[in-house]
Amino acid sequence: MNQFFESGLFQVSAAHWAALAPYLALCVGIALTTVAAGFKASAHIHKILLAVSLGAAAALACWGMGSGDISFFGTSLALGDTMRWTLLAVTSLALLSSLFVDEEEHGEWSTLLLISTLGLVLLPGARDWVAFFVYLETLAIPGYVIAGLRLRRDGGFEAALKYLLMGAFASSLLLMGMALVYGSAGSLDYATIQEVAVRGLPSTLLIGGAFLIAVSLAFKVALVPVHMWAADIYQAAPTGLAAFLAGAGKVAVFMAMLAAFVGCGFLQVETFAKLFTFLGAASVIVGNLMALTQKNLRRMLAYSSVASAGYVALTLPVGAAATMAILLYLVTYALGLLVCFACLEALVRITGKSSSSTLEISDLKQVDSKKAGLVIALFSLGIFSMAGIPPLPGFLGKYLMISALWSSGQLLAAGWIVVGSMLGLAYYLKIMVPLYLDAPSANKMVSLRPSVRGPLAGAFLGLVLMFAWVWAYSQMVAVG
Amino acid sequence: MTTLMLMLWPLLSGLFLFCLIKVPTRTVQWVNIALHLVWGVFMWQSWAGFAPDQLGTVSWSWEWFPSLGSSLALGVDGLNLPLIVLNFILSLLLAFYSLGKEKLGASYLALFSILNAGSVGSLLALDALAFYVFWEFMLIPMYFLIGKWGSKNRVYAALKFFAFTMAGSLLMLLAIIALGTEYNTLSWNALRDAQIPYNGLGGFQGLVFLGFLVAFAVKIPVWPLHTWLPDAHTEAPTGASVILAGVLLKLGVYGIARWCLALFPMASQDVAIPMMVLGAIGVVVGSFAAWKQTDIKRMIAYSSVAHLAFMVLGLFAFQEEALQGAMFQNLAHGLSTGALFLIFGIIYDRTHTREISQYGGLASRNGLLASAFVFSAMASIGLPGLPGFVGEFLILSGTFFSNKTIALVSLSGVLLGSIYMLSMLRKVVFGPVGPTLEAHEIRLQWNEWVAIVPLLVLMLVLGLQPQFIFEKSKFAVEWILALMTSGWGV
Repeated sequence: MNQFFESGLFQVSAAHWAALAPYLALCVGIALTTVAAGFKASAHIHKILLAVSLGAAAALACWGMGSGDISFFGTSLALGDTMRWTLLAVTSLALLSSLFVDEEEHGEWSTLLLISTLGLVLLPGARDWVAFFVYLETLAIPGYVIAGLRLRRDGGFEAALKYLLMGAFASSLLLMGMALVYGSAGSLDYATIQEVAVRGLPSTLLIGGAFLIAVSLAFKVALVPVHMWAADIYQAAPTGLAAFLAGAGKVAVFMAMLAAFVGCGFLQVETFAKLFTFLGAASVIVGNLMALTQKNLRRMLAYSSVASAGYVALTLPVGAAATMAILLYLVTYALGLLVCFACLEALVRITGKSSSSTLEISDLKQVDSKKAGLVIALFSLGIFSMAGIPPLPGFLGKYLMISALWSSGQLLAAGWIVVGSMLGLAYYLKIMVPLYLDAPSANKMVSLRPSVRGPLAGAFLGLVLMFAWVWAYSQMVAVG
Repeated sequence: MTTLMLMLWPLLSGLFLFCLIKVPTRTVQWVNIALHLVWGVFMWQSWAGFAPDQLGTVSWSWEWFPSLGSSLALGVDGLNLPLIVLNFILSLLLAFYSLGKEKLGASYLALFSILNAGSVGSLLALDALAFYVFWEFMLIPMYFLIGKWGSKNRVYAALKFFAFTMAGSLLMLLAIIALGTEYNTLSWNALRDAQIPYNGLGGFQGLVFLGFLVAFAVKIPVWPLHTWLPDAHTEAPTGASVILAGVLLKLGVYGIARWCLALFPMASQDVAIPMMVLGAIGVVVGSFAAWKQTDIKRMIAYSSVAHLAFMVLGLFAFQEEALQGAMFQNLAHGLSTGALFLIFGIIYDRTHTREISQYGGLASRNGLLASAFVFSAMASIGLPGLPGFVGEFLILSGTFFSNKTIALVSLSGVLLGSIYMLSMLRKVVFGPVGPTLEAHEIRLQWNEWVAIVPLLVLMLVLGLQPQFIFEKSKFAVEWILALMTSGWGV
């Protein structure tokens, strides 16, 4: 027993507390929202608690920036600056997605969202696969609940069930992969696995395990060929959940993939790195082409984000050197996507449709660009940022990723991103046509002047955050 | 600071104009003129304070991405100053032109100002990333200007414009990224001092050079990448056509001089003959195509293809006269084609048809306007005493020294130019009054004259006193030529 305590497992210094502080803030938030729900607190209070705990976590992460890496629980959790940046990204995206939640849903929502956020921000810090799995389920299970909160929506039941089954399937693949890796390396610790992976030719068992893990995580970020669920969830799930998964979820899972695959040395295995180049290249093409054929706006955005996941997957084999590039791209893309989601919410109210799930590109014709000028201006800025057109922030992320690929000599992948971006332009511009260019249709429906202040504020906040990230990056003198 | 304001002022005025969306159109148009006049003060300061013996001097800089070796570096020199002033003049005159036109309200003027910020920014930029950002930034306002305010086929034309330019630019982006990772800096001066070694077109310098070249060739546009231009020009509203011909196409020529010739002199020399051949083909094909057009704006657009092909010749002949001529022709063509588009735009506002066959007898309906139209057409053909002559004469005489065959072939362009232009004038300006002019009165408002007359005066001034421009650009041109003749051994 003495030995156990002396092992350092429970030695907690001030530096440890400081590093843990942002995560503790989230835990406090979870506790408080649970209590508040018990007292049947109003949605207003829930919103405030949610915003305060996310804000506190972000502020504490900023405060701790630059104080180096610290390990917890032996070596199974490592918290460093990359983790703090990821936390900033995830909390800001989570805060934005919480703006989409309907008033009456807010009770359970804030607790579930905070739990899921906690899982997300811890995931990239995992340094062994058990920890990884625990964090992954922490983030996933509240997601299943949120998806099922309001089953009566159009297609809501189908989306919730699909998401649950797909998630369970992915988890089982992950467990199978972990088992194979354990079988060949004799450990679930990243460092030990790395020793095995880079020593000589890795065994088929190890590669097989790594492949299973990769495929299961590819599910989570919706890479081709395991991307089918994305379009349904993005379209039919409650807007808040779709925004949360597409934004915060994707950022954290990708960062965790990077940390895990670099940590385990998988990316040094050539066949494994090839797998991601292949998944990425396929996602870029399929995502962009499918997006081009969509009529429903949210489905189109889903396929656009399949393509964007493809760009990241192409960059993933670069490894640790591309960390900041990938993070910046993911954040700016996700913020652009959330700006678009927010604008869709506003456009739903303007066009008088029941929900943004059914909003089609042709519906945009009804929007009078004079009267709803601000909404569609923000919408187009979001779109152009996702398309990566300078000077909007999405460009910087893409630039950094191509740059990272170029300096690691993967010219083909760099070129592929460029080709994909070209294809992407076609459907991004397709949205502009009904918004601005078509002759105004006879029955403009904007005369009601409905309140769009909430979604507009969200979109504006997203845009500001996007530029804040660019500014933060410009302040970082050294990359990585 | 003045240098920064050249770019920042139109950006701020654009954002300000967007806020005036509910203000009556006429007020906004006057506000726009006032904003332009303030911009003009900055222009005047830069023009008056310009020292001709500098190239690439950074006068304002902000370290925006130190980790990428990039900063927002802006500077005025002999290569860009004349074009910046041209941009300002055209934009100011268009501000007058738009007065009283109900359709050209706050959002149109705002997009226009933002477009100006992009074009002036890319002229001023002395950093590859900054240049790229401004270069791409121009696409968005232009896309909307063509797509929203253009004529019937506008959506198609806007998309084609966007897709062509973007495709070219993305190759340039790859080249910029390659430069950034290889040299860890994107500053124009630092890259020039780095003296990028050259080992064939397939080597580093060669490939990077080609990336830049394709982007500029699309913008110019060099045959066979020119097909977007006639559509964009034809469908664009008058103001956008003028700026497209007067500034945006010029950026391609400027870009080759600034980024291709100065940074990659050896690669430039290796593609000189192919580029000159493309230029000569462009001259001939553009001229023949212009001859066959039945749509006036389309004809002027093809004439632009031919005239800009002359400039490509001038750039790649590597003779002082030719390069000076190309730089000068940039301004001359901006003024003359800008004037043609503007004058025809004014006519079109009243008649709503572009078919040459519908016209005729403009001279008897409005003699003054007809004279202005003929005057601009003469400047475009290259009548001595007008700037087109100076530019094309210099280009051809320079080209003659470096390659006689190409010079002789492109000489035919001058002849063809006068054929198509004169036959268009005959059908539109002279002869019996055609059906449209019979039906519509062509009476100009004062502000439309204010937009036209300064262009004519400027053409005359440049035609008779070209020295006025040469002395601004002499240093830069000689410096580039020295680089061409001796490579990195300068």
